[in-house]
Amino acid sequence: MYSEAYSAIVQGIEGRIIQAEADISDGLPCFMLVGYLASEVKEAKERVRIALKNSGLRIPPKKITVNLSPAGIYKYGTGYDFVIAVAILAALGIVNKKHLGSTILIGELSLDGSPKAVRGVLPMVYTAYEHGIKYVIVPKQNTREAMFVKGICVIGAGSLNDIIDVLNSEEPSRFACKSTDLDESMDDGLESISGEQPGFEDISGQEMACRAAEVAVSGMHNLLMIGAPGTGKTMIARRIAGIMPKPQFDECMEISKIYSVAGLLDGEKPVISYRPFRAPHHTITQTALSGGGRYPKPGELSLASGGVLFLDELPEFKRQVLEVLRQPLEDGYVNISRLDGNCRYPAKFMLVAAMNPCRCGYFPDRRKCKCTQAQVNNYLGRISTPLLDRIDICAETVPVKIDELSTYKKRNKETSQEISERVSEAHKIQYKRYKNEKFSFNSCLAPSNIGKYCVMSAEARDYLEYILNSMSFSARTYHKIIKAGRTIADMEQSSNIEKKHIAEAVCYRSINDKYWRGGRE
Amino acid sequence: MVEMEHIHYVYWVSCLRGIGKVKRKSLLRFMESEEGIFNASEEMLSKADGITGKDISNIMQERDKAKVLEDYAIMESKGIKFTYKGHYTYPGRLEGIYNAPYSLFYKGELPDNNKKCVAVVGARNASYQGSIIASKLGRQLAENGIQVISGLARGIDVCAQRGALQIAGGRTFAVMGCGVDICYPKQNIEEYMLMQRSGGIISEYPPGMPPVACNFPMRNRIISGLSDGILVIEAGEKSGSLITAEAGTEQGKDIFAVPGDIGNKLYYGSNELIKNGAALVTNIRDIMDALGMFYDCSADGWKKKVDVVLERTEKIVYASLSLEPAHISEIALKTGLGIQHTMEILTGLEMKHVAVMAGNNYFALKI
Repeated sequence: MYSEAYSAIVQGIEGRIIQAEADISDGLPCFMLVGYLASEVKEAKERVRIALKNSGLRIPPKKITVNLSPAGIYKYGTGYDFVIAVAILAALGIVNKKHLGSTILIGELSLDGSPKAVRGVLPMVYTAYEHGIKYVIVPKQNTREAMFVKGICVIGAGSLNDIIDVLNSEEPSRFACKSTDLDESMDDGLESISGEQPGFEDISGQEMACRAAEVAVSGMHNLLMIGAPGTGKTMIARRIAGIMPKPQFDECMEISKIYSVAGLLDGEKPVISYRPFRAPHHTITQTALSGGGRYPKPGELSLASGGVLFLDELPEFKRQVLEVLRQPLEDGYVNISRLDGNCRYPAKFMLVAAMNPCRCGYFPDRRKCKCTQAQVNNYLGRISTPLLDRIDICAETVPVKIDELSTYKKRNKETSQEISERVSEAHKIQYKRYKNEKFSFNSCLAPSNIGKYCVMSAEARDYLEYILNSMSFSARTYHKIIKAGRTIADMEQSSNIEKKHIAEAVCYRSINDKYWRGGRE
Repeated sequence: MVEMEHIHYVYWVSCLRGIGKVKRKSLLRFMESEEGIFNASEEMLSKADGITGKDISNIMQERDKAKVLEDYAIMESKGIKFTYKGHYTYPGRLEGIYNAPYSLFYKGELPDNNKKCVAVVGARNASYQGSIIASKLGRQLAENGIQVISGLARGIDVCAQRGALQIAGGRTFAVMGCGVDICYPKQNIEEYMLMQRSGGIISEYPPGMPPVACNFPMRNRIISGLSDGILVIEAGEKSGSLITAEAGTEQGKDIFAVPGDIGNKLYYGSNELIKNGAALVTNIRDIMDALGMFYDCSADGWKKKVDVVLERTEKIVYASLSLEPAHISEIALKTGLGIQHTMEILTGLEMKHVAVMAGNNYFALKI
């Protein structure tokens, strides 16, 4: 009496199909579970046995062996209860084997036979779809998440007996969840989520920082905001995700997969169809940022993928933690190596950082700032140059006077929606320009590509040369200015970079040791 | 063997460890001369007021003619010169002051007695505005042949001295609170080196003396003593510059102060000085008048006469600039021009040398 059923596991954010084999034979009654299992998987034995009993099914006193294969892959998590139960039931002949080859079973069982939600359903279902599997049975709590994958029949199980009914029926697809009502509710959900996001219209003043944010998003450049406390750095950062163009289906899928693996999706929020905004506190550890753990889980870098990673009070982060950012900023993913293999999490985020210009926060206003020049330099020096090199755009926020606030209120302000439309246009230009390249945004331009894609007018070139000589910039700053200039030109749909674009880009150059010249003339 | 001259004995006394002003005075009173101290017996030394056993053993230990001569030669080979009260090179201005330094070590030269000297002192944590006022006045003093005395400290001091160094033939002197062979603060090494050629580094402390806090108020009396007038820029309520000004008042020097916003803490001390009778200075002429000097130049005001042609929008932006650096977004708000346009105009103004970037994206008038 042998049977096979299929389930899936998650490696990184990709799924992998696994097989459960059950054999029932004569011998001393026992229940063996094998296949390189973590302890929570070994415990599935007890959950399954009691769930079967409480569902009114009797396990005969025989020698039952269940093997999860391939046996060489370490299995952890709690999503194997369904497949173990079904494999046993099939071996007993209670479940028909007809559909087992085209069905994926994912889910945890409660002792009373009812299902429990598991994490990582989305990538597993997506893999099942890619392998041409017809049916997928998931706990009913995970249905909405699984439904995000189109082209596969998702069946939400309310109990163990439901699963038996489905598998024994002639046509399991009649149990499939109706996608129509789900789509509607999903759209509603999205509306409400995006509606909650605050818009740029709330911001008074800080034109330069707002403009810098728009430029940064238009070219997906990383952004650093420097300013006194209470000038609106955090306020602007929180609104940046809202002016990014809406994510496409593929992007939503990737973002949702990460959240699924991290266990952050639920019935309320079945998929992530907006740009994530993550703002980890500065006490965060390296592992929490990059992801990891005994059983790898995505970290903040990955959770921010496709959206914004906001690091407030940048110099307060531990130096080692900030250095973790360097490789992902370059490559767009995090590689985590563990005993049982490597996994790769995407980390294609836009970095937005905010900091004070000095410890007390008020430099260069000497009326309030009591820091010595050495203290100011020391504070700025906490950010390593390799990290600063990866930040193309830097903007200052300045204190807004109370009486000016009312002046600003009277002005017509642009909504995030309007800005977002302009950003989309700039992105379209870049997609078109870089269609033959591996990257799609100006921020990814390597120095070797700058000559090819960044054509400057003669006037702009002279101007830049003058600036370079008079302000003694490094070669890297020069490249950053050109990249930002390219983005500003794209925002105005100009094919060449003109003088005015360079003039603006110069103002966004990053801090360096000459940031505050300490009154040097 | 070369015999020790009087200057070597004075040098030996100046470098004695643990012997400060008071003990030196008491020893000199008792022994009558430096040579006397050198040759005095232990018994004699112990009779002087305030001299402890440790001091005596120190003196006995250092009493090595060959070594004194060798040390003096080493010091001279490092370019450090030595003078003492009564020596013909000793600055005449210092001779009359209360508590005049016993001896001076210096690199470069000492201030010329026949030329006017003005001390420029002020806040270490100076604002940009204060720094460029100091720099400009320092430059103008040097232009008019006035020697600039200061302390090479961060902020106003070094800005004024830097300004003076920009003028060919400009002379500026730094009075240090440590040995002349130590550049403190070390960031000002550039000025420290330049000053040895166009001016000098002066200290009453022997070479190798570390910059300890208690030395600094003492050197202020030398700064004021060497000067004919003391210009104070950006002195706060408890600024050390006020000590210099006070010493200057006692020595009968002219006190000048650049006024500031009465609400600004950085100017509290300066404004207080003016209230108490210091001369209010808004340009170089005010100082030269008080010193009784002639000037031929029509000394310019703070706003540079714009000799380049500006466009209409450039004029608008230019008019909104002041000595206090303003951020681009503040300027954009004032002028009503868009942020992007403002940036373009400001960088244009900088290219025309009428505006200057005072920090990242903070702009001020160029003077």
